[in-house]
Amino acid sequence: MSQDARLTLVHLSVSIGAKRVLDDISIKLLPHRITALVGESGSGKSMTALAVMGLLPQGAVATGAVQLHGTGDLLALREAALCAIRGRKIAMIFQEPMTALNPVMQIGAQVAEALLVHGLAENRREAMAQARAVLDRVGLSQIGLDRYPHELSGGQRQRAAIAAAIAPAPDILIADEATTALDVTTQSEILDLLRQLVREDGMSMLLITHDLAVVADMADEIAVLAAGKIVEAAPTTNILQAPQHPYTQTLLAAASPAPRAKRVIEREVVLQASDVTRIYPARRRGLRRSPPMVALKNVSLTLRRGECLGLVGGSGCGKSTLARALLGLEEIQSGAIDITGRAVSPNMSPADRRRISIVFQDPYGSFNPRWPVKRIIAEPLDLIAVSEESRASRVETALVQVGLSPEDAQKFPHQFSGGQRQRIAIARALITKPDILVLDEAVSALDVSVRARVLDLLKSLQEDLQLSYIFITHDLSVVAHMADRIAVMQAGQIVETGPAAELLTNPKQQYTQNLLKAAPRLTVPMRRKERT
Amino acid sequence: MKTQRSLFIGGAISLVFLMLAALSLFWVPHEVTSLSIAARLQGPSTTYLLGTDQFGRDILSLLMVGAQTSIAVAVAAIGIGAGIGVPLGLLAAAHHGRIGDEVIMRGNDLIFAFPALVIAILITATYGPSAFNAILAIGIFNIPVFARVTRAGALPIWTLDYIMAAKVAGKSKFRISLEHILPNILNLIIVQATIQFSLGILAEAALSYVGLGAQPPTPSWGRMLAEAQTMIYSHPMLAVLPGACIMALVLGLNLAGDGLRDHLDPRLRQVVK
Repeated sequence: MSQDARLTLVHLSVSIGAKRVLDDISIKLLPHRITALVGESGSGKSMTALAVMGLLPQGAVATGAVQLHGTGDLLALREAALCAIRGRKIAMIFQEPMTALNPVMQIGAQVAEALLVHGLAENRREAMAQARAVLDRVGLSQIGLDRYPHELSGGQRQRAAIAAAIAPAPDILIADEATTALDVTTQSEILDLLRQLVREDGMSMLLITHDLAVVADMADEIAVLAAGKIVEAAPTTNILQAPQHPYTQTLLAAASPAPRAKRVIEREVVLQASDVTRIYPARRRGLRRSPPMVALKNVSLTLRRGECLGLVGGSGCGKSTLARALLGLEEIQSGAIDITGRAVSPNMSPADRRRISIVFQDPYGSFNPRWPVKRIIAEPLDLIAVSEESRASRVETALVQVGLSPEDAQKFPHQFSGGQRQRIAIARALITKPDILVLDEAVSALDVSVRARVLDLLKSLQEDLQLSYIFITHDLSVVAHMADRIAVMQAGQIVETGPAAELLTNPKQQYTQNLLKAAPRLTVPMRRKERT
Repeated sequence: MKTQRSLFIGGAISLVFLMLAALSLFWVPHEVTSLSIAARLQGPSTTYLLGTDQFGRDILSLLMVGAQTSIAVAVAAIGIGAGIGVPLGLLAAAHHGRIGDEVIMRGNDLIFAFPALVIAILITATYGPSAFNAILAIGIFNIPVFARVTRAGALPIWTLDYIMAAKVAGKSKFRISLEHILPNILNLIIVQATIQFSLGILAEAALSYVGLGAQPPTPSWGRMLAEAQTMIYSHPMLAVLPGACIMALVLGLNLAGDGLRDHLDPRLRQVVK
């Protein structure tokens, strides 16, 4: 491996105003190699990518150098010269393919555009022919050049975005959280594709992610970034087996939470759903008529007091519909849902609704931005007759329970960090003293270290308040850490259910096996050997 | 910076007219109903700052009271438009995709199909011309505008998690609309009101110009224009002054509206940064 580095960051520092966002970053990107940049939100991952592309925001001051092999220091280049390099020498793939692709442009034309802009094709026809070849390479051979982004699935869209990025045969490929928005099976397919492309074309790849498990499978070297500094950089196996820096060690520990110890729960059943079926009626859209959609089909569940049931499945499998049905927000066509002996339906009384509440994924969309925290948390009490003093004291209790201080009641949601917001959401869910909490991807948007603390909080609350959880997630390591039992959903049905440890080690259904196989894991060195 | 400037300039212009109109309620240089043939068609002087018209009325006083008429008509019309349109828009959004939404929005389209002037002619043909009927006509024209803006602003909010949380708490659509939706789209409505304000001024001027607005002796900018028409070559200032007032106020309100929108709408604010 004595080849010259394709791209070298030499003591790169970036400041915005008085704030130093990147501090003395040095990275070497070698041909055929994948270098991962791992860090939590705000650590400067994306800023590094922007610096490499010469796309730093206005007012940012960079020192050091970004040496591109055969060109020189990119920081010294003018905008016009950078345009010739962006896309041609250095290409980038983004997190959200729907916004990275132009929605009103056919995908063939989008791939061809990259070729035409950089003069790699004589004319449009030639460019389209090359686009076809590239789309075939990324596994879209069945997809016509004239399709629009919205006609593709999430995974196909990301493939199209990759095709557009690699069409001009760049030397360097930057993937910024490129698989974060995809579900596990699609994610593993895209990662395989990226790995294969890097090996075949001899590209250098910079893989930016917050997810250590993704990196473990892919990268040759890992650089761990914290608060704008690289705290540790080493080959992947070294980092995973013998992390040197304490921050890397906490990151690794948080990313692979221990499975929950086996518990036997024999308390009373608090939730019973039997043969629940939800069908969305046929709808007329213009002249076409869409057929009725079966979102839930004969779903049965039981949940005991103090138990945690994990609900896993790919996107669109009906997890969220089931959650809404359990909360009494969906009209069900057949079957019955019963919580602590009383039926659940869209027209049940507010007093009956009190028994189940929900925590959402997005810590930003969960609160009315114009309300103070005390009003947000107390909202579930609005329709339940509660005196003003007891409202205030319950808000205070809830805040303390979730580890916030009573003074926080006066603040507004935007004054809190993502992890704190999730605590506020939990406080709101607890205020009615419910029996059941639905946690709908409640920790998925959080950084690993924050996530670990929120999970600990949820566990201790469960012990203290004897809560039952329905834990909806796509992340199998988290579900192993939390759940006593797991139910696997596919196409509106529960295909497999059983004790967590058993189901995760010895899945019976093909679908569960695929799901487990696709999940990225930290136990890399062994898998890596299998592959090479 | 730029948006702040347009908000400032537009706001200042609008404020000057508002203050003149407010002042005219208590004091004007000369009574606008007193005619004086001896003093007709005079040029600017210390007695008559902007001169007099063909009946010897003081132009400055006419313009001040005219501003009062225009603003009163436009504001009352916004009141009707927003008072009916906003609840309709909230209702439509709350019943999105169902029959209620369809009925409201198609009703909107129906009103949209008739320009304010046609509605005004319709009303005046039935009830006779008056300032009140002008208000009614412009107000009806405002309803679908506010309903549309409200519905469009409300729909994305209905999909947010905190609405779901409110539903879980057992709140009705009505209560959710009032507590969560309305406060979060109020900025949109305020901006739209500013824009409708300027359109209302224009519509009032147009209606008075064709004789369908405020009736004599109530002064109005539109009718001043119409009356000056015959003397446009001999005494051009008679037409230029009310015309300039209409233009300046509409420009001021539009600038203020644009500035407000950039200032209040977080999506646009990001782009500006």
